[in-house]
Amino acid sequence: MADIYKLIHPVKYFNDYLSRNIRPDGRGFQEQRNIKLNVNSIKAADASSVVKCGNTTVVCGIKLELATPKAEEPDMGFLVTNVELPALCSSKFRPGPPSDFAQVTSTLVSDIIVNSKCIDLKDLCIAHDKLAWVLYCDMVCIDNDGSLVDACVMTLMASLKTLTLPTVTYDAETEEISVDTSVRTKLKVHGLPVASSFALYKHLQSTIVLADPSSYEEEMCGGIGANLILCYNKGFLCGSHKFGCCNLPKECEEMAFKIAKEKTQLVEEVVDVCIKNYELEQNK
Amino acid sequence: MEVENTDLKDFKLRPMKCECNFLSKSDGSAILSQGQTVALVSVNGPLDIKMTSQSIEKATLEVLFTSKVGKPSVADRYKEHVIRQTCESAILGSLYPRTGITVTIQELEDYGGFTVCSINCACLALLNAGVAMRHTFAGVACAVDEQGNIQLDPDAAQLETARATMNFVFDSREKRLITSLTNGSFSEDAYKEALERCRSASQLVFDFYKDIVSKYSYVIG
Amino acid sequence: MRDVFLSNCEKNFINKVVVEGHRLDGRTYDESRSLSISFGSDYGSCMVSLGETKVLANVSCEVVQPKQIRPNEGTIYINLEISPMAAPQFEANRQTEFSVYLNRLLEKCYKDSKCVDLESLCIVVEEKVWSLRVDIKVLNHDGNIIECASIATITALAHFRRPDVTRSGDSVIIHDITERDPIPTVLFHYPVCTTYAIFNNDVLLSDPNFLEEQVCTSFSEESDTAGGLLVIGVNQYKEVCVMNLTGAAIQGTNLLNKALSGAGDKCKEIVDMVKKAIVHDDTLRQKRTKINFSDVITQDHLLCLSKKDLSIKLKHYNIDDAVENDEMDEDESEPEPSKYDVVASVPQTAEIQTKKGASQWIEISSDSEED
Repeated sequence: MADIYKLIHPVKYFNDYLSRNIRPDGRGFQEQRNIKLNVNSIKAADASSVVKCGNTTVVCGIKLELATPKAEEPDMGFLVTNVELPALCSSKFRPGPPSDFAQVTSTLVSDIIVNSKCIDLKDLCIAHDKLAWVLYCDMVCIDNDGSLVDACVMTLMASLKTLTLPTVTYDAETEEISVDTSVRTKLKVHGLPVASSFALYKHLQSTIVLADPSSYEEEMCGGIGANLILCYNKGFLCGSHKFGCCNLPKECEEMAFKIAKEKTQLVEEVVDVCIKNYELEQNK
Repeated sequence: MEVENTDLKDFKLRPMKCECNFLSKSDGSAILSQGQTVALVSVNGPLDIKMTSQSIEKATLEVLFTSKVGKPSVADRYKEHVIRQTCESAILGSLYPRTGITVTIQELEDYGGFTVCSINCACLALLNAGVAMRHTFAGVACAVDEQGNIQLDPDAAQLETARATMNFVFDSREKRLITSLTNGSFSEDAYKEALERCRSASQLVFDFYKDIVSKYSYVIG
Repeated sequence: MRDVFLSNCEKNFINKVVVEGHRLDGRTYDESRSLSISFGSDYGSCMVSLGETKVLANVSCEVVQPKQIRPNEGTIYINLEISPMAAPQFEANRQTEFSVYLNRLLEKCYKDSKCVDLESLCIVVEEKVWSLRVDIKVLNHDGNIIECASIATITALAHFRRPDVTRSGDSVIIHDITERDPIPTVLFHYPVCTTYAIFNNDVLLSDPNFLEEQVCTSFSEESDTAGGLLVIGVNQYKEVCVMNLTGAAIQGTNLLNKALSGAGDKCKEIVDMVKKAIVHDDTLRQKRTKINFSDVITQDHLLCLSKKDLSIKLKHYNIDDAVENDEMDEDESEPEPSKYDVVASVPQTAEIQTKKGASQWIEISSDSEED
């Protein structure tokens, strides 16, 4: 019966739930979905992780390669991020070249990482103007159920925190490169940027902020993806992106900041516990 | 946040020049320059489009962004997405169902604040084309430097030394925030302060729109 | 492409009027529309308008490896794009027959005629050469794009300056524009294309506008003579670089001779105008005046507005250091206890579980502060 109602009057169905202060999936407006994080899932990659945020599942894999630095920036390595949304993650995407939404998400994620300055590209340089590391970070979404940017950033940061670089010796005279994969050093990561997505819904003259929206809620709020994305790193805001659809009054802004800060603490804890767990396993 | 000095200080936006109806074949067009940054926007629509892209309840908005140097890149798609969301919230799409409205943006000069300049120019072009809108929208950019000083409408030199840059777009009726784009890291207070300043400064851009429309409307009407 | 329809009455009227010696906008057969060239702030970017037809051209360069068959020559790449900005019937990102035709004409005129000295673009033989890329965007299509685009291309190429390069032993240093003056491109000759619309097999219209182009290429069932478009590319020495005829065949060589001599004179005029504009721009730059596309915005049209002084008085706040504010915030309100527990369940995994607290479904007691 509820399914038929949802089909015939989609807006009224959604409004009825919201006027009782609850969302169709049973959560409160500010509740976060269940997060599960796993690291080192892909053995072939140099570092990897999988995150499941409610139903949204994103896998991240990092591969290392050596390259010569650009002539204009001889002491900086490269960090190449790419987000893929294949056809299996949602019925909205078709097979073929990356859709517009995939390109937008890719840009958002790489902007957040660059703006938060969590990776210093100078740490990736081995020999000035001759040799540097390239980190190819690929994120593939297996199931898209909303808050895609949150999940991508989370899984990318977890992989970066577990990434270890093998030691490379470069002989300047003979131009020989020798890579020793047994002795590895951890990559220096400054802070942990966490993105929080929100959907904004105009409900009877007031605006409701829905934290961690599912894809059904994102659609109802009119957007393609979340309406508001806030990103914190070490207490500083490193990104505030809002995309149209509903204009934001001040009280909602304050609430969104508060929720984003809480989520940041939570995600930091999750990542810490997961990595400690992983290291314990490794040392056994 | 403490209010240390309550003296009123002058804040300036760069001088703006615009010309509407610059292109003869488009339904609406505008070229706008803010200081040294210049953008050209053309609007065509409502026109009919392919069956697959039609929406039965409202007009489909398509935004195309081309930079001067020509090779299309992924960052262009992101700018298109942002501008499309901004225009969609303003245009009364339900008055033109099953049609398409195309907004094409051409970058002519970029000396800082180009995204905001192109958004303002898009609003002028939509006004010129006569597309029904709920409200007009105006964008203001600002930069925060290392000491925490906020500079409105920065030019290229100020952008280089800035620690963070922010672009905000507001609507004309209640000055609510429609779109925000930020670069770099900053504290929450810097964000709130910059938001308030840009909100007040957006009134200058809305007055500019009113002036140009009143300038030619008395001839037509 | 969406269809653009030409009505029969428009077609018949123009056919009649042209044969009688008039044109819709009052020009004679040989008159061209007014040409204006404006430059942008970068070297190599210019906007050309021929009447209402407007085209933007931009030249950029980068260092690449040369082709193996030509190890000491640079390369040129010309790309013309028509977006929906030019006219509503064009679709975005679609290579139509029309744009392929225009691209090919421009390539024949500028690449195949070897007007640019490619050997001067070489830096290190077989390793590094300059590759020039010309991007042409049609801003408004009111007929005769090929002439406007070719003027824009040659102006942009002549205006462009590449960065200076010095070789020291094995390494190559590319100097910034501010360090050392950039070097202009070397052009052997300046070819320009002109278009003639052929009506009725003996009337040549120079610089046709959109309507005239459509009429002369449309098929008429009444008369057994049809029209066509003749594009001739000539340089300032009256050497023909490219010639292209679309439409019905010409029935005699008289028309062609007339067109060639007319084209030769017109191209010489245009090249002189282009060179003058570049010299004028150069003198302005020497005096350090800032040149910018915003100069295109005229002050005398009704639909333009210019505001120099946009200032607003705002309260002057001071932002305290973010550190101090964080401390202040912590004193004001204690952080609320987290609702979630982080649990390390399976090896290598962590997950959050909501703390088992009082059920939140029952709304009876409003004293509960668990929120």
